[in-house]
Parts: sequence; C-alpha cells; structure tokens
Amino acid sequence: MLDKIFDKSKLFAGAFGLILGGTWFCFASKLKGSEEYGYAFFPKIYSGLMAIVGIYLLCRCLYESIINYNNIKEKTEDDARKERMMCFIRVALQMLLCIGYIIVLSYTKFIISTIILLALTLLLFGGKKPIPIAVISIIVPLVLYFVFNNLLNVYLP
Amino acid sequence: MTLILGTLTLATVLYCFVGTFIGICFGVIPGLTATMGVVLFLPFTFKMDAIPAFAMLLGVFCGGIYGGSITAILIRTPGTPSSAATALDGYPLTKQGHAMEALSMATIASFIGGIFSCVVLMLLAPQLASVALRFGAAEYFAVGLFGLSIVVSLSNNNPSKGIISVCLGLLIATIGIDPLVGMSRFTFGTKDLLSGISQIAALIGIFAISEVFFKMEEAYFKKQVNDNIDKRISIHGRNIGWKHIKENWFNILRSAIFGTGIGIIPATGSGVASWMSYAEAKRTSKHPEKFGDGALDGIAASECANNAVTGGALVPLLTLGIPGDVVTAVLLGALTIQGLAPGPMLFTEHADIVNGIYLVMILANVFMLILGLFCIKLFANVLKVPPSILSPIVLCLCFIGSFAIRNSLFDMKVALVLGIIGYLFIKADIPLPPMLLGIILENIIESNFRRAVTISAGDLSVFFMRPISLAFILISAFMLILPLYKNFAKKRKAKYNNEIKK
Repeated sequence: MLDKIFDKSKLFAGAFGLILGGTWFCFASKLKGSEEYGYAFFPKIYSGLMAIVGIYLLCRCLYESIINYNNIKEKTEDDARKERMMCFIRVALQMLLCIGYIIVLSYTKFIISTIILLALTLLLFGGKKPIPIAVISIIVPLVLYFVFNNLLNVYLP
Repeated sequence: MTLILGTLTLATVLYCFVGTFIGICFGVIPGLTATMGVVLFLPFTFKMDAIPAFAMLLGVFCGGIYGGSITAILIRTPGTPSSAATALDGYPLTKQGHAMEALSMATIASFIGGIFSCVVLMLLAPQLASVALRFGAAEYFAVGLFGLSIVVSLSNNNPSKGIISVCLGLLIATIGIDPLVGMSRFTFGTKDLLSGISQIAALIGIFAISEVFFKMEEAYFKKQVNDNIDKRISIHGRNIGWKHIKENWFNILRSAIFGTGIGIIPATGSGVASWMSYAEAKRTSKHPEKFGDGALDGIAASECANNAVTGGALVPLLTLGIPGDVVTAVLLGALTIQGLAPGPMLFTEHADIVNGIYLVMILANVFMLILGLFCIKLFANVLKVPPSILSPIVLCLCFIGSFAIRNSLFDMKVALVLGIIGYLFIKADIPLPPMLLGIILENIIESNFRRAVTISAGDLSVFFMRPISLAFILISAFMLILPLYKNFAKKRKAKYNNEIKK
C-alpha cells in the first residue's frame, strides 16, 4: 500500500539530495579561506543547491502522497514483489562480489581473482551449465591479460 | 597527399577498422550502446599515440551509432536508442522479405550522413576556433554555464532530479586540490583523494558498471529475448540499387543537415536527430501513408540523421571543450589522456592531430560502409550471444579499464562506488548524463569564474559587460527556463483537462 502512496523515486532523490547536500555543505563550511569567492565558495553553492532541491522533492513527494491517499485501490501483488526482491538481492550480492574482488585483487593478482569473479557472476546471472562457465571464466581473463599486458602495454596486477 | 599518407599508417588504419567492427557489435546488441563501447575501449588507448587512439574510438562511435539499425530492422528491437525510428519501417520490410534492401539503405544513408558531417566539421571547426581565441576567463565561465544549462534538456522532463544529478557531479569534481590556491578539499586526510576523482573512472562507473547491475536485474526478471532469435532472424532480398538512392537524394541531404546541426547543439544527440528527420520525411513525403509499413525513405531519413550527429558533435568538443553529446563527453576524456586541451590552441599547436581526427572520421565511415554492406550476416549472429555471458565480460573490462588509468586500485573502488550510485539513480529515475556533465565542466566553471573575478577585483559585472559572455549567459537562462515553463504549462493543461472531465 505504501508503494501506491509514495513515489519511491522522488523520495529517494529528495532524501539523497538533502542528506548528501547538507552533509557536504557542513564540510565545505569548515574549509578556511579569506577570499569571498575562494575555494569554499563553489562547493557551498553546489551542496546548498542540492540540499534545497532535495527539500523541494521531499515536500512534493509528501504533497502528492496526501493526494494519492484517497485514490488507492488495494491489489494483491505479492508474487511480483517477491520476484523483484529476489532481483535486488542478486544485484546486492553482485555488488558485494565486486567489493570482494577489489579487496582480493591485491593478494591473488588479476588472473585468479578475475576467474573467481567471472565464475560467480555467471552463476548469479543464472548460468547452470558448469562446463561453459568454467571455460569462459578461465579463457576470458587469460585473453584479457595477454591483450592488455603484452599487446597494449597496459600492466595489470 | 603527404598529410594523408603520414596520418594513415598501417596501425591507424587497423585500429580504425577494429574500432568500427567493435562499435557495430556494440550497436547491434540491445543494451550495449556506443557510449558504453567508447567508455570500455578508452583504456585500450592509454599507451597509444593520439591519432591511432582516436581512430579506434571514433570507429567505435560511428560503428556503434550505425549498428543499432541492424537489430532495429531484423528483430524490431533497436540496438541503440538512435535507431528506434528505423524499426518502424525496417521491420515491416524484413517481414515482407526485403531485409537486405532495408539494411543496405540504412548503411548507405548512414555513410552519407557521416561523411557530410565530417565535411562540415572540417569547414566549421577552424572558424569557430578562431572566434574562441577571443575568449577570456569570463567567456569560458559563461560557456561552461551554458553547458550546464543543457542539463535540463537531459533530464527527461524531470528537472529537479537532473539538478540533483548535476550537483553530485559538480561536488565530486571538487574533491582534491583546489586548482587556484592549492588547498585540499574533501580529502579527509586520504592521500588517494589528493589527486581528485579520475574522470575516466567516474565514466566507467556511471555508464558501464551501473548498466551491468541493471542488466543483471533485467536478465532475471524478464524472459530473455535470445531464445527466439534463431527463429526470428531471416535476411532475404537484395541490396538496393542506385535508383533508390537517387529517389531519396533530397531526403538524405536534408536529414544530413538536420543531424549535423543537431549534433552541434550540445545535449541533443542522435536520438533526437533521427526522430526529427523521420517526422520531417513523413510530413514531406508524397506517400506518407506508407510510413510505418516499409518505407525506405523513413529508414534513410532516420539513419542518415543519426550518423550525421557524429561529426557535428565534435565541433563544440574540439573548439570549446563542450561535449555535443554523451559520447563526445567521453571523447573529452580521451583528449585529456593524450595531453590535449580542447579549444582554439588545439588547432594551432596540434593542427596535425586535428587533421588526423578529420581523416580517421572519414575512414571510420568508409569502414562502416564496407562492413555494413558485406558482413551483415556476421553481425546478425552477434545477437545470439546471451547477455548473461556478455555482461560479466563487460564487468571485467570495466575493472581493467578503471585500474589501467593510473595503475591504482583506488580508481577501481571509485568506479565501483559510482557504479552503485549510478544503479540506484537508474532505479530512482534520476538521469545520469547530467552527473557526467557536472564532473567534466566543474573545473571550467569554477576556475574561470574565480579567475575572472580576481582580474576584475571582485566586480561581478564583468560577466555582463563582455558581449560573448553575456550572450552565453542569456542563452543559458533561456535554456534553463524554457523546459521548466513547458513542464509547468503541461501540468497546468493536464489539471485543466481533468477538471473539465469531472
């Protein structure tokens, strides 16, 4: 029911703008400078503008939610919502995988960590056949390493 | 002749060919765009000289814009947004068994549009550069502001979200050492942040990594199209004859002019150009009823215009440093990597490189024509590669690319964080191109504003007393206010209509 009342995208954008803009404005205010249009001036402008627009979006979201409140029709969308939740969980897992990849990269270097990243990502994308997953996970990092390191002189860890 | 032979070395020609081929592949696959192709292949060019680097990237650009027409015609799914209009008449022709006619018209029209825009670039850019020589700090600030004002037109009818996106981009660009007084800002004592956020890492994160996360969600949620591709792709018919080209000569010329003009205006892009040309072709056609049912004129108009944008978009980029569209914003990063600063000095100090860029643009269009006419079936087969295999490979390329900028794991972290933010922004329907513009234009705006104010001893009227600066500020104000007013008028009209219905 809350989905019907609040425009989630506006709520997110407004909250994001207000929190980030407000926080950044505080940090920018602490920058010391004697000039009126010094190095703190523009960061304060940008962050202030972001916070103001964030407040505007939140107010608008609230205003529209009041209007929407009376127009709600109850619908059962449990199955679709569960599927969406599964999608977000997979994407969140992918993000964690990427964070783990960057951390592990400095220890296990490029080829091994990329093989693991590719294999797990292919599984998360819904891959079921182990042989194609294994083949792609091994060949692609080797090819990329060869192309970048040996042909293009771009050195990888 | 010496210039041509000196510029077009074997390596340059090879990189241009490979770039065009890869660009067409990127354009063919729905979800992979020319922008993503240029972003992903930018790191490949780090150790190359300027001209081979641009040969590759411009090949990806031209090929990517054209490649979308192949899927638009064969399976009614435009590979890139700029080919959406092509699908309206391309797919009916495929169903009628004339796929080859549609594809060859798209190829030839794209080639003509691309070459026309190259010629305009060669003639117009030096003239604009000589005007830009008169620019001072105030003018550059006004030009930067003009570039920012187009954020409203990039905001998909939601200017507030566009402003949030651009503000975030501007704030990201302030991290690091202040360019004028050398004080650190928002580094929190971290050494890595002293050199600021890399624009290339930001690009990779915002446009490529976020798209991979979004694709992952779509791949699970939607039924994959690839299962049906084998049954749906059929390429029958013959190439079009000279007769069809002659019949459409005026349509093609008009579309080339439209596309080039729209490319020169920042933020409009190839999507707008193709729809405008298509609409105009339909309006002026002797048989408008055939549009939507397999009219070659429609395909010619759409494809010619969208490829004509490529040369036009380079005009403001090379002369003023203002990107004409999102892809040229990425190419601005390529110029920076090569140690080149766009603007009038580029034409005087690096005239050989500018001439080289013109030549490789022409070469890319020639390769696009050859590959489009002779390798269509190969590109149609590229569609069979499932996104569940492509997307992880794209993710690897993103990480490699972000690492290769400064051989730094920190840039990979930056790309990932911005990729996560980019994904959240996609979900919240907050446009991403304004963030990119903010990152690119912040330095131009801030440093030139402060420089101009210092020179004028704090007097802000300097921006209004200089005519070029005043003109750009007025145009910026107009571009900011007009879409806001249109949005407001549309909502008022909708409210009025609702009240009448009640």
